[in-house]
Amino acid sequence: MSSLRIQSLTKRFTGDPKFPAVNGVSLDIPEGHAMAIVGESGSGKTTLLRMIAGLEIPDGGEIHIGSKLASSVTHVIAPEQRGVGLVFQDGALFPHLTAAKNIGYGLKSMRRKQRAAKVEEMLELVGLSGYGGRYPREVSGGEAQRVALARALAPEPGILLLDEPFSNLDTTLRKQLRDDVKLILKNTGTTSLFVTHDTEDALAIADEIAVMRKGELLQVGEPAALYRNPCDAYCANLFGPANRLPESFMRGIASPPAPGQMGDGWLWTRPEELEVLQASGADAIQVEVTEVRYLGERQELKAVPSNLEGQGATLSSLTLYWEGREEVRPGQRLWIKPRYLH
Amino acid sequence: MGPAKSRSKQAPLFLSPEGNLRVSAQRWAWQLSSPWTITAGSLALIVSIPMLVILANLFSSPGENWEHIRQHTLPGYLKNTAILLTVAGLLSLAIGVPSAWLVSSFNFPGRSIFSWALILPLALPTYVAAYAYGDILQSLIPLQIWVRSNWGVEAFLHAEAVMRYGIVSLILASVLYPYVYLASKAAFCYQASSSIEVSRTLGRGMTATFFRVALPMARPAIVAGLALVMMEIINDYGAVSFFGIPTLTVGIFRTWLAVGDTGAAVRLSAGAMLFILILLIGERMQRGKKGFFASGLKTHHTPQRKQLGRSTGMIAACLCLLPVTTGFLIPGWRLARWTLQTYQKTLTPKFWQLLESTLAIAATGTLTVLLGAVLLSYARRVSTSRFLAPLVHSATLGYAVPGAVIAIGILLPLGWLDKGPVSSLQRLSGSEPSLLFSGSLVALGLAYLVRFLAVAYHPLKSGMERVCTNLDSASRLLGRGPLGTLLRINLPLLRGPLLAAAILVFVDVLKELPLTLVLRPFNFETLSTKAFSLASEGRLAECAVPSLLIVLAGIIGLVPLNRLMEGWKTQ
Repeated sequence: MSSLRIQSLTKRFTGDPKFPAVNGVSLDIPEGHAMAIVGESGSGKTTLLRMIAGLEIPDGGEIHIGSKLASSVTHVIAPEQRGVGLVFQDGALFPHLTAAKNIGYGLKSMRRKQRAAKVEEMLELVGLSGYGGRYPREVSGGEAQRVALARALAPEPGILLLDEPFSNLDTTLRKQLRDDVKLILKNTGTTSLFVTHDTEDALAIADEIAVMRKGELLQVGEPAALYRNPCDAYCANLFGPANRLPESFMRGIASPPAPGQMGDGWLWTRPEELEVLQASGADAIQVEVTEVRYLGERQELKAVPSNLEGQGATLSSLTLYWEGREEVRPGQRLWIKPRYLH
Repeated sequence: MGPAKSRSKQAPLFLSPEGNLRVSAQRWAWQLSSPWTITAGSLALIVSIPMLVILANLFSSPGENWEHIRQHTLPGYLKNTAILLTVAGLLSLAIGVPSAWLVSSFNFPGRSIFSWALILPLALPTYVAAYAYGDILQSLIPLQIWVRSNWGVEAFLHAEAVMRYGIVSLILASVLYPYVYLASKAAFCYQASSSIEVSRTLGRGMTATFFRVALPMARPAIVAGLALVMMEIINDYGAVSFFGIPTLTVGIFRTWLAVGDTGAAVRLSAGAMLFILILLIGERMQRGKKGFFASGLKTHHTPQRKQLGRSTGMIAACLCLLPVTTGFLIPGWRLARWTLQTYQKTLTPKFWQLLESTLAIAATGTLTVLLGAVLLSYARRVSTSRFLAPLVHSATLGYAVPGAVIAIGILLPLGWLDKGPVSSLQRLSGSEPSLLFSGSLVALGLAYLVRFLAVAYHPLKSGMERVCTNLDSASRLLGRGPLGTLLRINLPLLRGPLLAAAILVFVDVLKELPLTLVLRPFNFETLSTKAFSLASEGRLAECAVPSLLIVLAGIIGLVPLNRLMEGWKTQ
């Protein structure tokens, strides 16, 4: 396994030279870690992945895989010499080869017997023992992705790249495969970089998450840090509902302001960090409920602050969780206060 | 694909403007240094040489005969070519478009049979069709005599010319119209099908729909088919020389081989190239915006066909039967009858030898062309070079260039090689100077490569486009280089297009006449040259055996052609 270090990686496509697809991205993934890059389509995340794999040639910056310089402005190593594995969104299994032959494809230096043993081992690892003789058209989507994972892992690559590997699967299958992949990556100690537009996937799998937008990295950190302390509105809304509230109101919150927080007197808060009260209390502000959504274990409320003295700026609609048993109706007035303020 | 020579392991991250310049220079060097780019680029260049040689000679000083040719024979060549292009072209349209409309829009007895039977005439090379109808002029002699006795010699000469040009035009059109038929059928059935249905729901009858919707929408496809017909007419040597109509192609051979004035022949060739270039550019321009073809939806369906009544249905069936009869049944029947009369005389051991050498040259030619096409199409896939695309494009233009022109374009540079470097080498080594390349199988192989590269390249390229590039990427990331990926992933997945391309090229080489006639080694005969020489001696019945074999091979070649056209419809 190797570490991955990226410095100021830049790529411009000829069609759009003014806006680079990837703009000065730097990343560090320690050996054995799993990182997810989250971003919407067109954010440049796939281009970044393809540059690491050697399928695109960067216009600037460097890529180090382990101690090896894989790509710089004047030096490019061909993909087949990089020791990088890639699991594609559609699996990209070779349709004319069986699952076993697909997995054995990258094991060209092995003898026949050794190769067969390794293929068997990989099939077992991904839970597909006995599937070796099947052709790609004879397996389901989830199984195909398992074969693709086994194929990518078989040559024991320094880095494993995964390009939206679950996006073609339905929800149940996706969750199961996601957990399995996480376990496999952990057990094999694989350094991995995983690209997705789905934050749930990212939170479930990654040790660290990087948020990418318009070719640039916005924020890198552990899942909890990104969730609690988003650096801006985009990052905040990416991982779930977020409320923008005055710092003065929120002051005294569990931790002192982190460097990622806005320094302009406003703070991003998750709904679960706000306590909803039916009666006014100390430090509480009044809100008027506009929408109610029943979510089972709780109700999600949309609410507008009635008045917030001393705050010149108007507040946008807030998202709140109501866990009481009493029914809440639109138009009703409630009070909120920071949950951890005592 | 080797890495570029690295200036230093630790390259600066930010470069000054001149640094960037140096980097882009290195990038270019890197792009060019890829072995795929180099090999494919050189192949494309070699294949383009004949055409470049001809075009370059357009600007050289003309020989002494040129003035004479220009004033006296050239106008005739041009006039004859233009007449055949016009008359046979219009006839092809008149046969191809209505039959395609009938088959794609109406239900009538035998429709599904006619749908493919209308392609059959394509199995006959123009010269074979000419030989099958070879005695037709003689049968018109009574008519000519009647004209002379009634209106005099001048009228007789006119009538004779009109009959000759008319018959050759008819013969050419009756075997070439399937190009127009296939293209317009594809357009009617697929590209314009939704619009045709919309027009009918808006209350327009079939006739109005044809003229106001179907025909305008299919126009680009029809013209593309017509362009193919015209290229074949310009390329034809066997039919026009048999009926004594000196077209540009005949003029090139006459000036070159009979008069021996290579310079003038090259000029004539350049003229023919100009003809073709105008044709190609015109065809490209009339295509207009691509959106004209496909109306939005990628998924297409066969439109509901209108049921014809009994009498109108019979008329439609007769209209479709007519071109099949004149273009395939009559010539096929005559060839078969002649074969039965003469096969005992023809099928000698010598004939089997001839068959063997024909198959050998066709197989070798096919292999050469396929290798070239695989190399070019795969290099296009893996190479990042900007220089490759235009080179490959020019290399695949050879299909449009008449065989006579390619023959000169190949023999000229090979002749220079033989006279220059080769003969000096031979003198140095003390051996007798001889012609190494000219009149060798190398020259012939190269000629087939130039002429038929596009035939194999296009199906392979579109086949390769259907193979997802992620498969290549996956293979590369699993440690195989570009060659390993080609052999293990791309070629196995391209078995269908490879087979189709092989059959098409094989049949094309088998029936090729002008190139083989001029470039073959001394005493080397193929089915096509044998048919030509027998027909030139007037031994029509005997030339039926080789002709019939060519037609049979041609029928086999129609299978992949039809399948490729099906694919072409969706594009």
